[in-house]
Amino acid sequence: MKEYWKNIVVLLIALLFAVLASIDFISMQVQEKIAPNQNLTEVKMLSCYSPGLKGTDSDTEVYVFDSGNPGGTMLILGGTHPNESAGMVSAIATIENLEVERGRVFIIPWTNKSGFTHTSPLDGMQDRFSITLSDGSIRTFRVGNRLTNPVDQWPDRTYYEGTSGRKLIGSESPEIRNVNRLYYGKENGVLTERVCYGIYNLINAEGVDLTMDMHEGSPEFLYLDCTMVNQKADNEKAMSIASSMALSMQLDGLDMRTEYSGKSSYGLSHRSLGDNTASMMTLMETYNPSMGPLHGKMDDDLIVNGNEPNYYQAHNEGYIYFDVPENGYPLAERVARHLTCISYLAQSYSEANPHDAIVFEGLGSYDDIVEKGLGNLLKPID
Amino acid sequence: MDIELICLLAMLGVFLLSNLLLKLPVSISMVLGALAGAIVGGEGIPLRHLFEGTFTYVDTMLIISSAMLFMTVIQESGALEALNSVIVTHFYKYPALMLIMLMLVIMFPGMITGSSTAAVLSAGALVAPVLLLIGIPKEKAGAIIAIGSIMGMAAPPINIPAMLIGGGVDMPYIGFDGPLLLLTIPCAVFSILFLGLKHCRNLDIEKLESGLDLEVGKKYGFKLYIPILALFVLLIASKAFPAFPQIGTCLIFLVCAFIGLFTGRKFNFWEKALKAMDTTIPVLAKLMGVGMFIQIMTLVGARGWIVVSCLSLGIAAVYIASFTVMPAFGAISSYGAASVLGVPFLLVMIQQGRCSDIVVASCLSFLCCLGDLMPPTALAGNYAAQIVGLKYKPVLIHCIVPFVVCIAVGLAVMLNSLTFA
Repeated sequence: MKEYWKNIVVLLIALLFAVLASIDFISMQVQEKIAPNQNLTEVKMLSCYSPGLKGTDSDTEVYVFDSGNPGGTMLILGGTHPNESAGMVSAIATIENLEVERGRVFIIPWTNKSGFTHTSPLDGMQDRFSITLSDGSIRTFRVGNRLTNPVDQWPDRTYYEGTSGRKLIGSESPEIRNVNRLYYGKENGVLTERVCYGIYNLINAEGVDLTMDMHEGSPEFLYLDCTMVNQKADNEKAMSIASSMALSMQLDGLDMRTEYSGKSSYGLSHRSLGDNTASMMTLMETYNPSMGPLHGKMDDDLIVNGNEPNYYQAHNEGYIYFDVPENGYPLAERVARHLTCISYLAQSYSEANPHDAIVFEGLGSYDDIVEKGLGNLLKPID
Repeated sequence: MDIELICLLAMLGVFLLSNLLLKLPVSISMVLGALAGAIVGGEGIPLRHLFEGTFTYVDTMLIISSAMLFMTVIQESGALEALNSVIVTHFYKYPALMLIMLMLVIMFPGMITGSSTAAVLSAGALVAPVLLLIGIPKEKAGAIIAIGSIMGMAAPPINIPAMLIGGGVDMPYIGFDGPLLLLTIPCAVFSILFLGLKHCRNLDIEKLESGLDLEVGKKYGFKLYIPILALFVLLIASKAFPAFPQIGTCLIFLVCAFIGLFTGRKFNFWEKALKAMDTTIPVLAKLMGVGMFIQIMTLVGARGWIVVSCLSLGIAAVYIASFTVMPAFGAISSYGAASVLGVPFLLVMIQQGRCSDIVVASCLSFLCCLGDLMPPTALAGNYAAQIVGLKYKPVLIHCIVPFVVCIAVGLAVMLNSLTFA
């Protein structure tokens, strides 16, 4: 009888801790608010393009800016990997500041929306960070996991072949929850695949000409400050546009190079959407020190200021090829780099396709964003 | 002294104090160590992180639990005894060949799941009675199963530490099969022959048959083996054919266990299942504690501190640490050793040049896998000992020589990686 009561007490204590912890986990379901922009035309849901997403935690907002003037169409993807914060913040900043003069711009800030509701085990990630705005108010953003929440899609299949032909097996099995491995998606596939299909279908249905998928990578990653460009029949034209963008950034003193999609990069946006749609596909990476195995204590200094002495030391000792700055690589600089890349890319595209030009403003220059900070770029929430 | 180092010392100190002095279970000691690290690191009691770490290995824990139920059914239905009879009566004249075949059977589940625990619990438990029957002492039989399961974990096609190390330096998991076979097959063959061969020369078939239950096989015939065959077919098919229904390893074990209820002797499933889970829960608790411990190490920066400190070591120190500290880290987690130490060690070795990165990564993963023999966690040793009905200490003592040989082979291949590339 004594043993019986002991077991009940232990279970009750465990339940109490579980309830307290679950409050924190559930709070990650609360989405960031976006400040209104009078130039916004409409907000759709991705389920308009992939009906299988309707009613799921992965159905996500698509912000549409239509100038009403003829021109090309651009799609901007943020939050494909929710732990790569600069992608989401850049997308949100674009939504809050954009003024489109020619053509249309579609923006998805939480591409893998389910991934924003959990963090990665063993990584000790902070689940959110804050930015103080110029009016003194504070905006909080979530840091998620690069994969769909297993609560929404589980268990991971031991063998899976996506529509691109990429085989997910062994350590790649969890990648069945990675949006950037399952393009071009499947209408009735697993949840993550339905997200990919939604984006594929959006590109086809809306006649998207140019797509930018915003990412970040740990300092060990070889493709930082690099834009990947799709390989397909017209790859010379696509590379010419991307190279023009890179040259413009270099003239501004910003490192940037362009490379073709890897031949084996099946399932990644720049490769598989490039192969299967008419859109010119690009993917850009910035350096994020909170993502690598060398990072120190996980706090706002690391996530917002990008300050990581461990990586600076490793770079100085010759282990990290990326030129790690001594004073960190703040989120503001990473966002500024993404936005500058988007602006120059649209500009280069428009120069090469004057009849389908995509013209917009409002994002500001790199120096402007860095100098004034994200607190000035992001708008207060009423 | 760096705050990260202070956190790490607090975690290890509280863990060792709780386990060795207060005699608390390893799992509880790890929880206390994690709590100490979080408090010293200024995180208070971070419930979210504690829970998140705890559930890191939930898939593995479900597989272990379901595999235990499967093994209970196989054992109680009489399939194990029948299988033992078949192997012994057919191969007793060729003991070396018989032993090598048994070793490959032990390794197989580890090769396809990447888990030594799965290998011990499935094939290890199948083979253990055979080893005992042909005269190998319990402690050596346990050692053979422990080493075999680790060789299976390290062998291709699935070697999770190699994948973790490769992932940390942006290296795809391609081209590892050859180096991993080179490391694992000779070590596996040596281990079983060293531990078992002298006990099974000149086997007397009449004596062996007297110790076997030949009746159960005759009574139920081929249908006794249906659950085992179903297990292998489902495990292989689910990994080989994309069109095959993907029901998952856990459900495969449960389906096969359910089939086993109708193919042999009748028994009280509820009672036996409860007993099986009683022996499993301490191991599951260790996995939960390990996850919590590593999560807090990462949160407070202790993990990053270890990695950066490793990078600052000279190349000689890194080689020495790779065959000492790395397997020793397995006392916490062999997967943890791969992600915490494997990545910086590989970076240091690659930077020195004159080596094959794939061969070196294979060797490092092989050395990480050996960590599953490290007490007090010693996942492979622990379960192997349970299967032969012993505490793990006598089993681990017999693992020492094969362990040292494995280390020597791993180091030799690593130092001559270009030769084997």
